Amino acid sequence: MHRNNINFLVYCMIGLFVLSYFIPWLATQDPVGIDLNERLMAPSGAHLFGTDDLGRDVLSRVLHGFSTTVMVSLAALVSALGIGIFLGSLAGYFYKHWVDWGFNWFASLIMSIPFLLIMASILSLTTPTIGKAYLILAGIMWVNTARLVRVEVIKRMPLDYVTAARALGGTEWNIVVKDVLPACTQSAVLFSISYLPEIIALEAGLSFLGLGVQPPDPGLGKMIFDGLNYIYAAPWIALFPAAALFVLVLFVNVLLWNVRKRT
Amino acid sequence: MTYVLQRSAYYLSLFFGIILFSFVLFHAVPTDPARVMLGPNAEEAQVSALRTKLGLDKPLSTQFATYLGDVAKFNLGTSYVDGRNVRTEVGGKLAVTLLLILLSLALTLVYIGISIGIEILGIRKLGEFTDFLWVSFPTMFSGLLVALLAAHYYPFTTFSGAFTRSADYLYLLPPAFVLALYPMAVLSRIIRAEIVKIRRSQFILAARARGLSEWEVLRKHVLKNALIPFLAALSNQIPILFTSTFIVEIIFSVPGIGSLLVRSLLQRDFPMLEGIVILNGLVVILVFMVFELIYPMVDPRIRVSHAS
Repeated sequence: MHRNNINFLVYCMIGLFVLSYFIPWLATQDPVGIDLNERLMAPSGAHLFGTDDLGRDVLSRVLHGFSTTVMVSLAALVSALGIGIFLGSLAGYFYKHWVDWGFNWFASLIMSIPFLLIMASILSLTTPTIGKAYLILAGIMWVNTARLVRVEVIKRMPLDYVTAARALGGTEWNIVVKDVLPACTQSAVLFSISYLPEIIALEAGLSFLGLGVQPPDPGLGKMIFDGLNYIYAAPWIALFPAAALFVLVLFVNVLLWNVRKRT
Repeated sequence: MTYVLQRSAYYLSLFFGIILFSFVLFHAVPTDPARVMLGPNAEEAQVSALRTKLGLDKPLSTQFATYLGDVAKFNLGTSYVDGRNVRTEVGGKLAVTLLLILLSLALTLVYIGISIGIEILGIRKLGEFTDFLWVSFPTMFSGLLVALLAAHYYPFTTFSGAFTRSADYLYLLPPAFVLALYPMAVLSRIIRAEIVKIRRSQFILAARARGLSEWEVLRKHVLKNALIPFLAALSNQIPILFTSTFIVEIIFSVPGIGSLLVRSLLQRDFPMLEGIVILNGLVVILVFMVFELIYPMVDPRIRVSHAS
């Protein structure tokens, strides 16, 4: 695993985040502006991606929704990575202790309910907002990273350099934080970025179920869900946001593919 | 035998955890179901009467005990919205979803077979490329594309909802294909990596040295050893399949658990959501348990380490 490749990947993610902040500037029209005279127009020069059932410009809505999806997913990724590293190292530190057992049990519990179902049932109790969707994404997606970090910590604890650090008088928790964790960070970062496509799909899934971005603000999943009503008469309403998701996931996968190939 | 008991106890505890989760979520969280059912304009007297009827006025511990008893008897209550029995409703929809998932798993296995063939023929680049393509399709995009194509070119576009005709099963084929794309790609990547890894091991060299034909080496040594990681990855795909089935079902209007989930979410029908969480969790845990029972059958190392 070359450090450069991981750095490259991280820079790409930061670049993607910054880029998506500016993407809405490309929108030429108001994404929430309703114009009933322009309902269900096919793609044309005036509306490159056509208009939806309320006459809103699909291109502008896709650009705004795309930006929200990217920012929420990346923010959730970073938070989940942080939680994952913390809880994973805690479980690794308490290996063979009941804390570690409890961690494993809880992680298996989360893994045995479909993620979208956990998130949807928790969000259904609240008035959903995009902020809550982010919280719940971060609050669930740490599981895989934490498991990886736990195994990495446990694997490294019996190594000689850890024994050396112990001989130098380091306390166990200090050794985990200062000597063992830095060695695991790279694989944890790569591993959690490899879950980005899943996070993106879940964010869109929450929005699809009406639990993400709230109307009138555009969310890709919600646009697809609403577009299903017109899927045969006006397929562009649902197809363009879906294609935007495809482009995003493809981009992330191409990056990951390149990084993996070079390692 | 101890192995079976140990694992069963573990999964039973997980199922208990799911029940606890849904109890905490839908009963202990300070939202008032009685208020939700009757709406903000209902009078306080009506709300408290309903609260008594639902047992919401009792202490939490009593509520949880009653709840556990109810779940043990599979008495999941009735819908807040239209009084339908949650168990029969969720159970019926779950059957459709499970059929869809089984169909997609069958498609996945066929693809894995092809992918192993491609690997053996030595055209790995092709397999890597197709897997990369499949894994990059978000369910929503592939679902829409396949739905549009199926509407134009696929002959079986009607669903009677009851599986009385063979056309009903054929209707499920396009959604099952969409559902299968992700596990197809992920599992075929894993099996390919395993085959490559195992083929490099010493015992394969030894088997070849003993004069076994390449086919025998493959069947008796390579694939047998690749089976355990493959099964582990397959069992991990089950919850993921459920997540994507929620979306695929809505796109293809399949009357399964996904459609029920969306309706219950829109109507904030909490008993129905609870039933979905509990029964879905039960199905996933049962599947995990079946896998745990298969492991010792295919891997003698697990048999030996747990024999007593």
